[in-house]
Amino acid sequence: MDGGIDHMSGAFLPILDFQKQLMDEHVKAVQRFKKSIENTREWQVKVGQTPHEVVYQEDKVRLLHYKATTEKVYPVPLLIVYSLINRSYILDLKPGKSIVEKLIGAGFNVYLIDWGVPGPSDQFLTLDDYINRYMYHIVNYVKDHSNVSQISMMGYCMGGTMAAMYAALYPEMIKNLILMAAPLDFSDKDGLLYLWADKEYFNVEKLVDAMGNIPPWFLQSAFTMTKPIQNTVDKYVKFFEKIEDKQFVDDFLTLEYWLNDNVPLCGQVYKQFVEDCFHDNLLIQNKMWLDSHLVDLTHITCPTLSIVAEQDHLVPPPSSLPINDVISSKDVDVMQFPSGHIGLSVSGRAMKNLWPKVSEWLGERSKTAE
Amino acid sequence: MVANKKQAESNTGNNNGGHHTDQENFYDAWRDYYQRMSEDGLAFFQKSVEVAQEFNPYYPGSEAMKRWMEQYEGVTQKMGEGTPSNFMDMDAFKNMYDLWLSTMTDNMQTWMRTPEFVAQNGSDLETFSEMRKRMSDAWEAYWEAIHLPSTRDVREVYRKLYNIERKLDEMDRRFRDGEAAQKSSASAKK
Repeated sequence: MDGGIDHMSGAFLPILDFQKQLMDEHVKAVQRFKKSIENTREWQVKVGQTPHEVVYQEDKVRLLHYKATTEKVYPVPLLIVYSLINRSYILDLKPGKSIVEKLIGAGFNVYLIDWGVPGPSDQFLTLDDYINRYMYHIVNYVKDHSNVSQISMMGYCMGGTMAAMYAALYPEMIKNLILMAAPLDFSDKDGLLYLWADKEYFNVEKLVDAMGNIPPWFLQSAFTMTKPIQNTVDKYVKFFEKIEDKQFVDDFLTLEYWLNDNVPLCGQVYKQFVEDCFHDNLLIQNKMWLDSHLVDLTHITCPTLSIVAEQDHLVPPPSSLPINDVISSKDVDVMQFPSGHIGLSVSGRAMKNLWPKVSEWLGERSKTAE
Repeated sequence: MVANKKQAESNTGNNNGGHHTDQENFYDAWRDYYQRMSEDGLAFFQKSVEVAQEFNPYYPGSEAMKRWMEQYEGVTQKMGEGTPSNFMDMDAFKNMYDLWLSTMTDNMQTWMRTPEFVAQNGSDLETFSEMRKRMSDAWEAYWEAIHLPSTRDVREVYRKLYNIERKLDEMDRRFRDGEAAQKSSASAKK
């Protein structure tokens, strides 16, 4: 009988061992969870901390000015145009993870457009309003404020598309152009968003007619769905694994705060962007109209730098790279960086390896104002 | 479907010597609204049930779901191949999680690119838009029936304001351009 028990316990030993390991892991998880409550309870939202001044305001749009922190300042200011989706403080997320901080530390006077939060009264605003009205006024303001005749412009994501449109319409105003993960060519359906927005399947008119403005949850869920397992499972598993690391928790929560701090997108802007860009790919073919203005990218003649994230699943590189074949600029450069779409602006590697190079590229071309 | 103000007024008849009180008008509008809701509203809710049944991309008969099931066989096969033959310990358990993660990610990425998924996604969105529009229409009818401004009215005001703003901006820009041209021609004469 005793031999039988020994035999049984021998057979169940791996199970008991596994059970013990599970119990140990469980205890660790409880401890981690306790720690996480402590860490997250202390956490406070601190975004956009670099000192700045609101120098211009029109409707809901604000222009933030960040003064260069160096003794030697480049005479040509840089205007950053962020996307109409999400909030612009991703470019100044937190100390150490801020493009703005990097650029002012390199000697540039930086202006950043904060598009604000569109309400129902803004649902009829079009891309024409944003580019030929708001951006036009802002660029004129920056020129006067900095006492220059030309400025440098950098656009990120949809802001890059808008910057390219602006530079094509007003080439005389732009000294240097930087396009960062900017969707410009929509012919390649490698990106899931590009595929889902295909003309054959996506009736944007009906959606805008029903919704007015496009609510944040709609855009956010589309972005989440492009990587559903990572965004809904793995991200939180990894967070839990590193939850005792205070720095990691702060970085994670700050970025999560930004990811969930979405804004609605004006209905007519969304409709126009989807129809002209995603459906008909007019921009890269120089056939897109903003009201009565034809956007002809061949009019861009200034030095142009494309920054592309190699693992960008939202704006895949084939959507950004063709710009250099279309514009007339002779001074064109591409910087491909091994990161994802958001990693370009917040990853430690980008801060260390990418932005000094971008500053150098821009600095070489910003020594004189004329 | 919409019980508008004019219709409500035409239903008032000649009671009270042709003069209707506000209360009577209000009552007529409500009665009119409920009559219409009982007919159109019923049809609307029936349609809502129908579209709601089709709304879920995972409903068993959908092409997208069939495609998912076909692909899911690959997931189970890979998971089966990756399962250790001897008893599992914690490291193996974690490896299995990694395997599940990569297999499911690949599978989802492939599935979400299939024409079946994309078509289902598009038709769901269209159905959602339609439902949302119908609900808005029902609310419009309600507000109009009780003689209050509806979302449509507010939207019209927004549209008009927007057009005025655009015209003002255009005038402002022309004025500035003209001013700049005048300045440059004056400096050229000097």
